[in-house]
Amino acid sequence: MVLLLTSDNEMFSVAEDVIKRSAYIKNMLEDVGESDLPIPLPNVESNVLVKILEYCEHYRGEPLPASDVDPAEIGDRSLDIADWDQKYMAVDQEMLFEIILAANYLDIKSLLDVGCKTVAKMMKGKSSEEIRTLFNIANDFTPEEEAQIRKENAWAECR
Amino acid sequence: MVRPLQGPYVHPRLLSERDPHQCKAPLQSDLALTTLLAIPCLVSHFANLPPTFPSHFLLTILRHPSLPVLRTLYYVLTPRLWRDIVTLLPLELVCHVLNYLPFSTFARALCVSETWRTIMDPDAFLWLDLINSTNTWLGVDSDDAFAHSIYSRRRRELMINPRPTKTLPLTRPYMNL
Repeated sequence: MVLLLTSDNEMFSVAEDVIKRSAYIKNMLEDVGESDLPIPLPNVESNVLVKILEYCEHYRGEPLPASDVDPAEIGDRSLDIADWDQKYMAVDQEMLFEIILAANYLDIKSLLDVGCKTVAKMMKGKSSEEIRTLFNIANDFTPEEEAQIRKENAWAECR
Repeated sequence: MVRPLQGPYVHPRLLSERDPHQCKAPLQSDLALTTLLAIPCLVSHFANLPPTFPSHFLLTILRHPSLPVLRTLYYVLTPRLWRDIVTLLPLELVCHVLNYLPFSTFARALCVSETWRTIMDPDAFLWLDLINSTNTWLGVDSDDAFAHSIYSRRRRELMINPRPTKTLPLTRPYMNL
């Protein structure tokens, strides 16, 4: 078992093969070896860690992704998300945001990909105005600026 | 101290049998008034609750209201959970997200806000990747040609409409020309 200490001082005891999906923890365990001391996670709150562990628990037993994947290879642009992952990601934006940050911090590549895909999928096919509503963004362009940008990006719309 | 909500319990049927002006009105206004008066007191109590209690307190209250009340709450609460993800995430994660966008959505995302534009525009890798993925990258010459076509269009528009408008800098691959 591995002990994890979240930013709000909650202690979690997790099976090693569950948490090893996090490359960060996996490397740490390999470097430090067995220890009774908890691993501090100052960037992760307990409610987010619960959610992250739910993911790791679900994919327990699945082979870990190879660590020597070429980082330059980002050819996969498909927005296909597995059914379970879609349900898992059906959370409010605040949580989605926290999951992406935590997945990045803990280095869980597959979860980070799913999180980013979910955000991209929310934006896909939406107009600028709809994207603004989606993320609660103020339109800080002047009308002239907006018209000009719209005109210059119009060529991309035909694809 | 929070005063208990006042008024003796009167069965609704009894109420309707009595004279409404004598009984119903005083009871209702009294109830509403005491509740109203108790609100500041409640709020100050709420603010002084120990850390884990506010959520417990709110959840207890939320067991009771009717569907319309819950629906109103939903509309008030949901926007407060909206986050401008592109501005708040670290840049490398934003690029990760934007990398998944099809070209047309990327173009529309550029029109979302000045902040988004300043984040997305200067990212050469993002642009190169996008251009590569759509097979529109033809080399440096196509770069020049595109920039010149935009500049000449701006000049043409200036001739037609001499009123000077503030022009924006070109997007990244063409910015340094």
